Amino acid sequence: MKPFYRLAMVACLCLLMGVTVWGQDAPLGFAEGDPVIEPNFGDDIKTLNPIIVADGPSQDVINRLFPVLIQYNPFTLAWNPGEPRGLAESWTISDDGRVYTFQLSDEYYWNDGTPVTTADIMWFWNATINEDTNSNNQLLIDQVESMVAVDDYTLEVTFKVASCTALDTLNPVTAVPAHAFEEWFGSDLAGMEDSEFNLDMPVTGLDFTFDNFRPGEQVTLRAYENYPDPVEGSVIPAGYIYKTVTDQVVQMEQFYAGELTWLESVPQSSMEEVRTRSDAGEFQIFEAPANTIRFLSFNLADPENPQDAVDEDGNPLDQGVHPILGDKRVRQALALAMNYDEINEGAFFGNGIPVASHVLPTSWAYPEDLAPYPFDPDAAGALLDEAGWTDEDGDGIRECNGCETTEDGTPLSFKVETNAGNVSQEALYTILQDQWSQIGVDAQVSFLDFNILVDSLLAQNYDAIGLFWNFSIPANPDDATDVFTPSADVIGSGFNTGSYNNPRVTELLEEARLLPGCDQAERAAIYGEMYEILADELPWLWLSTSTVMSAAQGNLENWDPQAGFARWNIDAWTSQSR
Amino acid sequence: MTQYVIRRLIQAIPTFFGITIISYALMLGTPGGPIKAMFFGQRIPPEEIERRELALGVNDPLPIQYLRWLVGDDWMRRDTDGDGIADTAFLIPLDVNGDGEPEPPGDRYGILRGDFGRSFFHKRPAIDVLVERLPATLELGFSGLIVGLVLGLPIGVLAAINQGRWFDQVSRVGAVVVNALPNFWLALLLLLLFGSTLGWLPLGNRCRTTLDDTCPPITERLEYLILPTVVLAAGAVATYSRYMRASMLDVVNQDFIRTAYSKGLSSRVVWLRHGLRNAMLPIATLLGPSITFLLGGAVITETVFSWPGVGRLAVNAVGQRDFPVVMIVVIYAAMATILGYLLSDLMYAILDPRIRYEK
Repeated sequence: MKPFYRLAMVACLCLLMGVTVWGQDAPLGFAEGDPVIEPNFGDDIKTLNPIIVADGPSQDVINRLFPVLIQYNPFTLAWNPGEPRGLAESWTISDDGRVYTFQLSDEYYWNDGTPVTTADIMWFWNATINEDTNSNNQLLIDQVESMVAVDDYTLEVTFKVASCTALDTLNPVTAVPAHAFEEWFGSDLAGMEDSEFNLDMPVTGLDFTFDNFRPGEQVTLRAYENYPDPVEGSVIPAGYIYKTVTDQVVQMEQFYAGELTWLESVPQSSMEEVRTRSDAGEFQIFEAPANTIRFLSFNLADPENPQDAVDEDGNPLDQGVHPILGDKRVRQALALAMNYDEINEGAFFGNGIPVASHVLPTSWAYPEDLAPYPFDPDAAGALLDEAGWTDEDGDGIRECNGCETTEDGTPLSFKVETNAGNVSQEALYTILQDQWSQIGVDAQVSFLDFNILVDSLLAQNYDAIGLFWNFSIPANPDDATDVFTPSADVIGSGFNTGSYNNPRVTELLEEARLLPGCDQAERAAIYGEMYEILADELPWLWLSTSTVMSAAQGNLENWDPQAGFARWNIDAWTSQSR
Repeated sequence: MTQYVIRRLIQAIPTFFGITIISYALMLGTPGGPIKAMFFGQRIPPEEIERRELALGVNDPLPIQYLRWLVGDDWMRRDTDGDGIADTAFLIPLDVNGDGEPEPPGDRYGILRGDFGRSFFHKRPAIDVLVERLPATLELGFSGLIVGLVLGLPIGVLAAINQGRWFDQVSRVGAVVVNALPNFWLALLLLLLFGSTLGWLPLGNRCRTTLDDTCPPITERLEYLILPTVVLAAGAVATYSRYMRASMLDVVNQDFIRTAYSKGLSSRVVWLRHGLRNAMLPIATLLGPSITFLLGGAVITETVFSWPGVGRLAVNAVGQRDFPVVMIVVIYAAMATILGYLLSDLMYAILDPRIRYEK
């Protein structure tokens, strides 16, 4: 049998030699003229058409291809005329605050040489309001009465009501090449979703042009040399590659090996290592508070009989009261029993930031004296006692003994549902469950498939659901209208799933939105009062936001990410040496 | 043989439909729907959600949805006078939402007429979405299968020949260890060792990241195939080697082997010419399921290595409730299963001269 052994040994040697030879490839790294390579941790892009886009990866790529009507400043996060990517050079507002007249730059051209004009914005608008396109820009459709091209570079937008959030509403308005879109989709808007051009856009108008899409692998854009508004005079990277890397560990290893130019968000478990290596000059890092918070939505209404807030005629409906969480004191006790430091260490590697209400500490509307609930289990216990929840039978779980929301003897036990598969989320709720058990609360935590969770949330038949909330950029405190007012309390679609209703909160939101003159300090004071009411009544338990760390290769020059606009100068990213 | 193949393929038709009916029912039975997954967190009014659900037909009863998928709906709601408005309906109402207006005429032809539907999320024909992922899955699947067979069978034979000696012991322990290793762990371990620490092999993906619009031919990027193939083949090597060893030992204790020895044939001839061929027969039964498994896409291996195959596509589609994509993957997997088992049966005939499928 010796020949078998010989054969096996030769095969092993060949394999080893082959492996060694293949190992001689140089790492990619980032050198002058290299493409920027950024990982895509999510699914494939679905479309490059700004009119029908509905997913994050597609929007990321679209942002590199099409100019928008208005753009915010990366440093102040305020809407500003004349910002790169934004067509509006200036705008005026009518006396009644309803009509905005935008003057567009005449320097932008599509990559086929056609100038970008108001016709391109109008094509976007007309397609958006056409039901056949199934556009997702519902807020825009709801709030804008009309859009008119006065001439090639003057656009008049009339809102249904004068609102301080008008510019925020115009955020999605994007120029699309009307001459090309007319040819591709013009006669059949109903067929727009099915067009092959949605994934092959040869006519674009920013610093990069679309080159190719390899499903499951990468999207490739090439530098557009004639782009009129590059940050450093010309588009420096040869292109931009949105590369699919579906495992976080592998993503980090590819970054360490120089195969990725930068990471917008370093996983929390890797932050410490990246910090250490950036101290040694190997990488650059940028840290800022995230734009996302984790929250636990309490159902304040009867989950056995979910109802909309109002009927078809606008009359309030009886939604009942949640037998446990309907009492504000119980919710406050849960907040007081939360030991944030322990959660931060156990779930977020110390990178968490506590949150007190429905506002981030970085927002212009954040009230200075707003603070998270302190960790005070004794006060939590006292509040539960006061609310009529005591442990008479000594089993460690309190029961209703004179509480106002349910029958005596009902245990203080409720279900907490959250999404499975997110390690820090699972750790957070496991720790929280333990902390609440210390004050006699039985939180039955379950980790569910996201679709099941969404079903439960929208059906409003849950006790408490833990999810994430993304704040808009720039900060728009009016977001709370979609979450804490009766108009959003609609089974199956609204996001006020916990049926919170405080007329004063609704009033304050409207007051701040319609404030004559829209003075920001005055609006901040109004929102401040609202945030304090929310913090007191706790329709949600705002749990945490976290530090987001972006990291880039050490030799990448001009990398200057800002919180909320990391890629603002991507066309200037360069390096002199590998 | 041809008649047998045709007969088996005809017999497979009910199996195929059985699989699709069960899969469709399971898929629709899971909580959450595509519209909720698509628009969660967006400001979409209830009537708009209802309109879109109506357009996709996802609220129809299960039998109607299945029929639509199978044979289309152009015959269910028809426009007979050519004015673009549906005027006759069969099985489904003309006006579903009760707004007094008939719904648009059906425009689906069903899979039996070559219409596999459009992906709800990718907004493209589901068949296109599948086809663009197939080359990667076939590449990886066949590599895994070939390596599994090329290493597993000889190891099994050698272990049988050296029964009780060190090679047999090592291969036995090795098979147990490899079978016990979770794939994701093995994949990460190999990536960290050969990709990160030693720098010998790429850290995942299917080809080098460049501005070019195509992946080069497989011969120019074999290095990308090595680690995922090793991970995928590891279990196959362990399984084949143990089956092969047991099968060989069964055979070598039979009378005809003793007869061969008594005729003065050399050990090599006895083991390889007489023993191996007979021992291969049970292995043929393993081959069918193995082909199904390997061609169906290896979800974990594809995810860790960012390999753009069918497995990853299927998982995403299930998560998003993208029914047309889920169902076309089911069709593909069902066909691979049926063909895999057919291939197993045919291999019996090739390996065992006593088995003949003709009358």
